[in-house]
Order: sequence, then structure tokens, then C-alpha cells
Amino acid sequence: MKTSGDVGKDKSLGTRTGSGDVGKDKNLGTQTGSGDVGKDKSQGTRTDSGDAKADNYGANVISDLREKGGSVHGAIHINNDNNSTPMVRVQRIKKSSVRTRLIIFGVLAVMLLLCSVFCEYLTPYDPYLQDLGNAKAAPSPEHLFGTDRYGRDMLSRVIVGSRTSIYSTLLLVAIITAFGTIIGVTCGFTGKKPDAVLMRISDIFLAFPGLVFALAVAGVLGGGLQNAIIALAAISWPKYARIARSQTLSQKEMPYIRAARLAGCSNLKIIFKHILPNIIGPILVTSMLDIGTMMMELAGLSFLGLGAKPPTAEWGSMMSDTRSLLSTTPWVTLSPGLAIFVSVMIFNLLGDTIRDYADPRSRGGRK
Amino acid sequence: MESILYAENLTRVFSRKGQQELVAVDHVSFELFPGECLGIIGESGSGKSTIAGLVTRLIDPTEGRIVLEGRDITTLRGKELRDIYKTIQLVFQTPAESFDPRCSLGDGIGESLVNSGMRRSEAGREVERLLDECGLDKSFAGKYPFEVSGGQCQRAAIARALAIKPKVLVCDEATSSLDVTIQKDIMELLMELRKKKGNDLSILFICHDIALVQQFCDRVLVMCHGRVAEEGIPDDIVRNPGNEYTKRLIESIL
Repeated sequence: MKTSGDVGKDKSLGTRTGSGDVGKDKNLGTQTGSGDVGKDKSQGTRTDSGDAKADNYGANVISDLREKGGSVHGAIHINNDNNSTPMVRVQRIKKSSVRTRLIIFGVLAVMLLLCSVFCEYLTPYDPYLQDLGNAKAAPSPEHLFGTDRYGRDMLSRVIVGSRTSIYSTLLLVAIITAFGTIIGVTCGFTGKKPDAVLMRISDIFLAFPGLVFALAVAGVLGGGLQNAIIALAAISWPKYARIARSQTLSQKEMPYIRAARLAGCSNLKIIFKHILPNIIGPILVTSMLDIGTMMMELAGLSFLGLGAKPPTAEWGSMMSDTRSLLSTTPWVTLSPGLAIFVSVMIFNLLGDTIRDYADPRSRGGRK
Repeated sequence: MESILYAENLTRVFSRKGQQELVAVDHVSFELFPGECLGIIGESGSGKSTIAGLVTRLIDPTEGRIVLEGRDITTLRGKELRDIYKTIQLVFQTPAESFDPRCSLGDGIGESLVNSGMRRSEAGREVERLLDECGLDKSFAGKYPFEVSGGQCQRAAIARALAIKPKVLVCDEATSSLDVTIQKDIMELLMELRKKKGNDLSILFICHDIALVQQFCDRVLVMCHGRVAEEGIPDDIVRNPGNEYTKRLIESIL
């Protein structure tokens, strides 16, 4: 019997949240090798090859499990012990842990935002002040992140860069999420002509290679951060429209939407009260993950001279400008990179947590 | 006595490009009288659930007329259509899926009350009364649909359907997805409700189990391929089926 991997699986979260049967389950786990259905199947195949003993043992294990009232599956346990009615306990993340995560990442994200709002007051030096005598200085107590080739303090530049980078990225993601969702839900809910027309338009946008199209838009409208945002929004909204539309289509036919109709809800009320809360999870997660991508794409456009113009501090362009210095003075390139890494990470984790929290199933309503 | 729900030549054709047309319901006419329980039985695909959708206007009829309380509701739209749900309500086949997973059972049950202008606190009290009436503890108001069993969920669904005090209750295979003992509980609940409400509640009971219909219904329609194969008193039909299909249906349960 191969035990190690399966036993580990058996001891996973689902079992641990249980009150009384942790010990019992562990016990079963070691006795039997596993309580996993897949495992039983593998024993079945062994019988075919003539190993009657193994089969016998497998059958005993299953009947054993049944007698003890345990379920054969690892994730779902039938609990008859402490409640009068039999209840099925589903593996779920504890409410408190989700809330703790939400608070931690929420606070971190708010700190990033505050940092970008009050960046002028947080910088130890003037981020645009050149000090050529002190150029390319390595990180030291005076200049924590060192200085760049013009002797500007990197820490100050990274802090000031947060305004352009975080602000514009969040604005961009908010725009495309809202716009894409509105279009997608409208298409999915109404169907027919509006759906066909709007989806063909989104197809057209999707048909162009993203950044090239953004380049063209930014080129036509001229450079500058504002136009870069418009350009990226133009190529990114169809993704959200697609997600929102397919989610709406799948929810629209659910009995609870019909039930809402029977309760006298108007179409608008059905959309806002029943469809949106049920589809917002995947959309939010996508948009949170997109914060990182958008940060990078804005940086890309800045590098090509179509986004933030130097000397404006912007993480992406700061990295691109100094990439030739990577081998000699790595801190100049790495410090904005670190800033991007940290902020993208925080927003991604926040996105995951929000999704978990928004889903009552993982909030653990039963006391 | 005047009928409370009257369907005349009700027809629904499902058509899709490149596929054969499907006549789910074919010129079906029936009447439901106040206080009566009319059963509709038939095998799957015979158009029973489509009828439930048609009389509640969740599905638009291709042809025919639906009259509710003397008012033609066949072509109503918008606000007027929403108003018919104060008279007619539906209990779904799948209890768990008929509640929004993001709303508590209490919110789901009280939704029609809040939508009709009742204050939230008042609706909350009414929800507790309804839960009690349907044999559930008031703590269920705060639970989510995935936290309760199928039977409890169906009780909550019946409470929801009764919240607005409808005159017609359509039960679309309300007991089919439940196991036998729970099925009996739900049927007892429905019978009790009938006794209590008397002529104020008529039930259109859609089901594939002829034994249940025999116990519970005053009259029965036997559906076969979208048409009414037979109509009459359940006991008569069981004893003396006049139709090949009905005979098979009865044989299958005996």
C-alpha cells in the first residue's frame, strides 16, 4: 500500500476543522493507507491482475469505514456525533482566517494608497534633485536604495513613483472593470441583438494584438500618461465583458433568478441584487490580477515614450531607463522592480482574499 | 363556481435553428377552482414543468390564453406582470438552487414582501411566522441555502411561496428531489396548509408519482407528449384507466 501521500491528503484542512473526529480520521488514515476513493479504484485494478489478497483487504477497509460512520471521501465528512440531525460538513476555510487575511492585506493596500497620495511628504530627499558628485552611490544609511546615475535618491524616486504607478494603474483597472462588466452583463442578460452587436465590437478589439493597438491609439492621441491609460483601457475591456457575459449567461437560467422574478423583482433589481453579487467574484479576481499586468504595460508604454515622460518618476520607466546599469549598479534597476513586485503581490493577495470573503460558503456561516 | 386559473389551448413550441421543433405543450386546456388541488402527472418530457412555467409566465406561450382571477395575463409585461405574482406562486423542483446562494433564507423568503413595500423589520417578523408555519425554527432565517438539507430548504421554499399569500400555488415536482421520508413530511405540510387555508388556496400539483396524486389531489390531468391524455378523479383513473399510457403509468408503480 502506498501510504505517505494519501495520508497527508487525508489530514488536510477538511478533517482538521472537525471537532471530535480528528483522532479517528488520523487513525483510519494510518490503518488503511487512505480514505480516498481513487485509492479504492487502484485496489480494484489490482484484483484484475490476480492479487486477491489486496482486494480482500481493500474491501475490508471500506466496510470498516462504513461501520465507523465515516465517509469514504477525504473532503466531505458525515458527522453524526454532536448534532441530532445528520449534517454534511464541507471543507471550508475558517471565517476568522479569511477575515485576518482581509485585514492584513487591506491594511497593506491602504498603506500603499496612502503612500501614493502623500508621497511628497514621505520622501527623505527631493526626488528630482541631481547631485552628480554622488552619482551611482551604493545603498547606505543616507541613501537606503542608493542613487541613480544623476545622483538622485532612489528611495525618494520610488516613493514618488508610487503616485504615477499605483494611481494610474488602479484608475485604469477600475475603468476597464466597470465598463467591461456593464457591457458584459447587458449582453448576457438581454441577449439577442444588443448581445450580437456588442460582442462583435469586442471581437474587433480582441483581434488586434494588444500592445500594438495601444501603441497606435497612444500614437494617434499623442504621448502622455492620460492617453496611455485610454489606449490600454481600449484594448483591455473586452476581456471583462467576456467574463461578465458568460457568467451572466450561466446564472441567468438558475432557478433562483426565476424565484426572484416570482418575488416581484424588476430586471434591474435582479441584475443588481442577484446576478452581480454572484458573478463579481471571478471579475474581481481577474481585475486584481490585472493590476500587475497593467502596471507593467503602462511601464512598457512609458518606456516607449508614449506614457509617463521623463523626468517623471514612474516605476516601469525607471526600470527600463536603467536596465543597462543592471550589471554595474543593480540597485538602480532593482529598487523600482522591488516596488512593483511588492505592490503587485499585495494587490493579488488582496484579490484572492476578497474573493474568499465575498463567498458565504468560505465565510463559514454555521456556528 | 368560477375558476381561479384558467388555461385555454395553451401551446409552447421550442424551436432552434437547425433543429426540429419541439412541441412541449400542445393545446392544453384546464381549469383550477378555488380551494381545489389539481394534479398533473406524466413521464419526464411530457410537458409538465413547461406548464408550470407557462401559467406563472416564466415561459411565454406560443399560443393560447391564461386567465388568472378573471384577468387575461397572457401578454402582460413589466409592472403588471410583476403584480400577478401576488396571486400565483411557484415551488421549484430543486430547492437548493431556487435560493440565491448569496442571500440568507430569511432574505429570500421576505423578498416578495419587501418588494411589495413592507418594511424590513416587519418582513423579518413575518418571515419568522412563515418559517414556524412551515415547521422550521426561526434561526433558519439567518442560514444560507447550502447550510440546510434538501427537505429544510424545500420547507423554506414553500414558506417563500406562501409569504405574499397567493391564491394559487404551483408545485413543480416539489417533492421529487427529496427522499421518501422527507417527501412524506412535505406532503403532510402541504395537506395541513390546504386544510388551514380552505378556499383561499388552490394548488396545481405537478408530479410523476400517481400514488401521491391519488392521496392529495381532487382531480388529475394525465399528460402524454405535451397533450392531455386523460382527465378525471384520481381514484377513478387508477381503477379504470381509459388510456394506454395511463395504464402503463399505473402498472409501473404497482
